[in-house]
Amino acid sequence: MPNLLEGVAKWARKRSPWVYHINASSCNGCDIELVASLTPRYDVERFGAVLVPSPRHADVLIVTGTVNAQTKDRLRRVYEQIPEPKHVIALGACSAAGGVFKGCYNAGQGIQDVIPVDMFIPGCPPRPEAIMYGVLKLLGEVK
Amino acid sequence: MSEVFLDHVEKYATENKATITHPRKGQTMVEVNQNKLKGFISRLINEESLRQLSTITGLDLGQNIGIIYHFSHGRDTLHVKTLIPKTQPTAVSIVDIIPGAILYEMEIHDMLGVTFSGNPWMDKKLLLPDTWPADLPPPLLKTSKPAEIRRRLGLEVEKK
Repeated sequence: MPNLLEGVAKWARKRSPWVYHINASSCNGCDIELVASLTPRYDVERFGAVLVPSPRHADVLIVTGTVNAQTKDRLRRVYEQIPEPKHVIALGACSAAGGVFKGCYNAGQGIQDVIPVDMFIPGCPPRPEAIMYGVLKLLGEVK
Repeated sequence: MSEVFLDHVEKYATENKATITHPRKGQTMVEVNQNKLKGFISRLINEESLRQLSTITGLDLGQNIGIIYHFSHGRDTLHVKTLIPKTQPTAVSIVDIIPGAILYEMEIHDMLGVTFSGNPWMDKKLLLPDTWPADLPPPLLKTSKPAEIRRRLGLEVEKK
């Protein structure tokens, strides 16, 4: 019986990845593309992905932007609020490696210095197709 | 209309012993001494109905720090430049004649360490992080080292 319940939970989780989005000092470019992928034109909701307003309801955390001294602790706090199992997607060049801000006095070199990352989606900004491909590929790896 | 305005600017500038240059067409750069700056700007506001302060720029010029006030007047742009010594970076605030300048002055205070006397928010931060250590130099001075600041802010992570 427990195995059956686990199977059902896994099946449900794969078909409804609830997404929480946090902007860790992004320029808003990636945020616009992420919101575009939720619009009817791309419609990521047909795979069950919904933006949720609280990290406590989320399965997947999507982070845009390089971290800086102001957002570092806040990003970690949001990550810790997400219940297990949780997955992190780093969206865009900045969250992967610092992007155009690399070398600035208040810019980190990617969010993997702060929280563990499962998937990087490169691009400046990534296209909505790339975002959808990344989310679906992550779901394929969900165990 | 704009011809008259520029003539008047030129007149006030000569009265204040300021130098006038025209970097580009439609642009006028006036370099005013720090102690005459406030009188010059308030006169333009009161008598020439100069209304829009677009922004204030700060420059690190080595020995001095340059502060440029950019005004828009119809199709013309007027840049009022003033120099203050780096050894004593204190400038006169124009918040009492242009209230909107308060944020621009805070930005220059954050980035270049210039104190504007008369600005009531000089003790607050605008752009720097809350955890910014007080003994760090202002980040946009040419002598500041970004890697050193990143290390102090905990943003440089040792790669294994």
